[in-house]
Amino acid sequence: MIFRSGTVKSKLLSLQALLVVSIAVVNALAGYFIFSKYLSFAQREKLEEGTASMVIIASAFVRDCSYQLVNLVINEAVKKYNQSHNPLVLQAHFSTYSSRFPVISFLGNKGVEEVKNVFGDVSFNFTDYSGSSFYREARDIPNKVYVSSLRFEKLIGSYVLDFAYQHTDYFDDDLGFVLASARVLDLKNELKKIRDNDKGFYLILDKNNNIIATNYNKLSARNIEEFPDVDPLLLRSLKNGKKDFIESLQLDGQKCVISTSFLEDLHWKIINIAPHLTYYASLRELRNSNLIIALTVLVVGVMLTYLIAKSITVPISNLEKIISDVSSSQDMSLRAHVESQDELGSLAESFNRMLDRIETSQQEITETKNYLNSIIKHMTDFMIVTDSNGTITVVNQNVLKANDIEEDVLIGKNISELMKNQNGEPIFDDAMLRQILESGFLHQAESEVYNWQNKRQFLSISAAVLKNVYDDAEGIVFIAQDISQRKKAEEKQFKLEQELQQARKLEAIGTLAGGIAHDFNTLIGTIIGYAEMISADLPETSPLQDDLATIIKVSERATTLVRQIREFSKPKDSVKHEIDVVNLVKNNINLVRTLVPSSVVVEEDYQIGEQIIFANEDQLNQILINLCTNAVDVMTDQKGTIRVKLALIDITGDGMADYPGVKPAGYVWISVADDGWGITPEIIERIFDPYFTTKETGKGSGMGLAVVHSIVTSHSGYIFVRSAIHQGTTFDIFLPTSNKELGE
Amino acid sequence: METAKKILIIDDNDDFRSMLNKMLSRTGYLITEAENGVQGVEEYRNHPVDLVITDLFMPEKDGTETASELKQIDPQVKIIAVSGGGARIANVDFEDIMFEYGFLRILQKPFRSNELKAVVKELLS
Repeated sequence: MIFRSGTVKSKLLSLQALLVVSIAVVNALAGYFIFSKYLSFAQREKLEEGTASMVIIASAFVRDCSYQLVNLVINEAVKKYNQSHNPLVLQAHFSTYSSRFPVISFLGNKGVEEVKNVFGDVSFNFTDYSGSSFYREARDIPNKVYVSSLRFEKLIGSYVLDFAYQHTDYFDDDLGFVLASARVLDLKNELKKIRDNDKGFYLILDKNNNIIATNYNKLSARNIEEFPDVDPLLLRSLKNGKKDFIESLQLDGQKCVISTSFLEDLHWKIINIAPHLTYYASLRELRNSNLIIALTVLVVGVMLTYLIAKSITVPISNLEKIISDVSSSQDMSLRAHVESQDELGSLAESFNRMLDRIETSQQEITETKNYLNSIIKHMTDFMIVTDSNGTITVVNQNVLKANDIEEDVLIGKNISELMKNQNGEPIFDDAMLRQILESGFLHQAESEVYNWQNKRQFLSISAAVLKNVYDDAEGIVFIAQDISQRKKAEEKQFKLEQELQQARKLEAIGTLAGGIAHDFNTLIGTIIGYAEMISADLPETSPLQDDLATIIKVSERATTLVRQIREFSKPKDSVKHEIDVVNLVKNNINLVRTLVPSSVVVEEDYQIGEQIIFANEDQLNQILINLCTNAVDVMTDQKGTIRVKLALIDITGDGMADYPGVKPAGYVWISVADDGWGITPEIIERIFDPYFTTKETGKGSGMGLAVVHSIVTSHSGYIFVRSAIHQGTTFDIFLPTSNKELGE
Repeated sequence: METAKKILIIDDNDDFRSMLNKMLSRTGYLITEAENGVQGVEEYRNHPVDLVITDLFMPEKDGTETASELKQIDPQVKIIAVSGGGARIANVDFEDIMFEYGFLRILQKPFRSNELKAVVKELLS
C-alpha cells in the first residue's frame, strides 16, 4: 500500500498531483458546462440584445419627450393660471416636443388652444389621432409606450413612427398624454450604431410585417411582402418566425443564423440575421477565454500546490535529515531549523527541546561517568569487574600498574589467568566463582596471589555479585587490597617472636646446662678416673684396654657436648669487636671436629694468615657451627667432606655475576662446602626462611639458616647458596673487611 | 724414702672424692677427705696437709670461701681447684679466680689422671 510504504514526501507529491488533476478536471467540466450554457444562452440573448437596444432607444426618447413636455406645460400653465390645479390642464393631451424631432402634434381643440396660449405664436400641424388603435391602447394601459404603424408625414416629407404614452402618477391620476412622432431615418441612424458592433443586421417588424426599422441598407420596401427577389425560405422564416425561434439558412452564399423574438408589448417581431462566422466568433472567444482560464487555473494550481507541498515536505525532509544526522553521528549539539509555525514547526521545536534535554542529560551522564571513573582510577585498592563467567570487563589503573599490563590486553581475559596460587592454579576457578555467585559475596579473604607477572602479593580480596534489574547475576566486582606490607610486618613480628622464644628456650637450656654441668662433669670425671685406674691395673696387652679407651673417649665427648650446650646458650651480646676472623674460624673448626662424626672429614683452606674484622665473635661462631652441622645432616650415612675456605676478595664496579647485589668493597670470603645431596632450586628459594626445614619433624627447628642469614646481614654482609644435586652445596659468606660502609 | 705428702680432698661428690683418693693413694700420697668446705676447713685446722684439692661448687661453703679461710689458717697453704663448671664462673675467668683466691691451679672436670698427677707432683716437689 502506497499509504503505508511511501514516504511523506511521495504521499504529498501524490496529493499534489491529485489536486492538480482534480482542479484541471473540475475546471474543464466547469468550462464545458459554462460553455454549453453560454452557447444556448448566447443564441437567445444575442438576439434580444439588439431588440432591447431598439426598445431602449424608442422608450427613451418617448419618455424623454413626455417628461420635458409635461414639466414645461405644467410649469407654464401654473405660471399662466396662477398656480390653479386645473384638471383640464392635466387632462390636456400633450403631444411630443423634442429638439431632435421638430414635429409636435397637439390633440384636441381645447388642448391646442391652451397650448397656443402658453407657447404663443407657434405654427403646428395638427393631426387627430384619437381614433387610432394605438392611441386607445395607450389610454387603456398607462405608462407603456405604444407605437403606431409607419406612415408618411407630409409636413416633413418623411416616414415617421408615432408613439403614445399615458403618464400617470402614483395615484393613477393622469399627468399627461404624450404623443410623439419619430422619423424612421433617425431610428435607422440609431440602429446603425448597433450595426457597428458587426453582429449581423436587424429587422423590426410590426404585426403586419411592416418593417419598422432595420439596419440592412439594401432594404427599401416598407413591407417584407414587398421584398424583391427575396429568398422564399427567408421570407417564410421571417413571416412565420415565433418567439425564440432560431433557424439556419444559406443566404448570399453565406451560412447565416436567423433568430426571432417577440416584444409582446409592441407586437413587434425582432429578427436578427447574422452570418455563422460572426455568430460563433463570440462563442469561440468564450471557449478560448475558457481555455486560457483553465490553463491559468492549472498553472496557478500547480504552483500553489507545489508551494504548499513544499512548505510541508521541506520542513519534514529537513527534520528527517537532522534526525538521521543526530542518530548516525551521535552529535547532540545539532538542531533542527524551525521553518514554520505549524505542526511541523512545533514538531521541530519539540525535537530541539528533546535534543536539549538529551544533550544536557548526556553531559550529566558523561560528568557522572568521568567522576566515577576518576574515583575508580584513583582507588588505592585493586578493582576488577568480571561477567558471571569470570571474563574481565573493567579494571582500574592500580590493577594494570601492579600487573604491568595494558588494559586492552587484560580486558577479555579470565580472572583465573590473572590471579594464581603458589602452584600456578587459579585462585578463582569455576567452583570458586560459582560459590561467590551463589552466596552473593566474598568477605575479605586473605590470599597469597601470584599475579600476571608471577609476582607474589598478599591480597585481602572481597567480592560482590552485580545484579541487573531482574535480580539476575550479571557479574562480580572484586576489590583487593595489597596487604603484602602488613604480611611482611606480621611475618617479621612472628619471626621476632619466634626468635625471642628460641632465645628464651636456649637461655633455659643454657641455665639447665649450667646447672647440671658441674655435677655432670664430676660424674664424667669419676668415670674417666676409674677407667684410667682400671687401664693402669690391666696389662697393656689386655683386650679390655680398647674398651676402656672407648669409655674414656665417649665420656670426654659427653663433656664436650655439655660444654657446647653451655657455650651456645650463654647469653650473647651483639656488640662487635675487632677480631681476627682467621683465628676465629680455626678455633671453630677445632670445635666442629669434636662435634661431627669421625666419618666426616673437615678440610681447611686458609688463603690468608690474619684478618681483623669488626664482628661479634659469638655470632660468627654460631654461623660456622650451624653451617657445619647442617652439612653433616645432608650427607649420606654421615660420611663426607666439609671444606672450609677463607680468602680475601675485592668486589669492584659491577660486582660479580655469581653474587649479584654485593656492594663494591673488600670482603672476607668464608666458604663452607659439603659433598652431600645438594638442594633443589625450590628449596634454595626458601632456605633462609624462618622455620623452613627439610629435616624430620622434631629434628630441626628451621631456625639455623635463618639465624645465619640474620647474623650475616647484621654484619653488612651477604650470603649465597650454590648447589647441585648429588654434588653438594656451598655457602658463600662475604663479610666486609671494613666496618665502614662504602660511601660513608 | 721421704715422708709421704698429705693431701686433703674436699668435694661434695662421694664417688668423685673416693676416686681421687684411690688415684692419689696409688701414687703414694696420704689422703684425707672432707665432704664440704666447713668440714674441710675444720680438718685442715686439726690436721694440716701439704696440698688441698677442693671443688669450687659445694653446698654450705664453696671452694672460694674455703680457700679464703684456709689462707687465714695458713697463708702458705697450697690449694688446687677442680671444677665441673666451664672456664668461667659467673662470667669471671678461672684465671681471675686463681689470682683472687690464691689457687695454684684450676683443673676442669673431667681431667685425665696424668694431668692431675703431673700438677700434684709439681706442686709437692
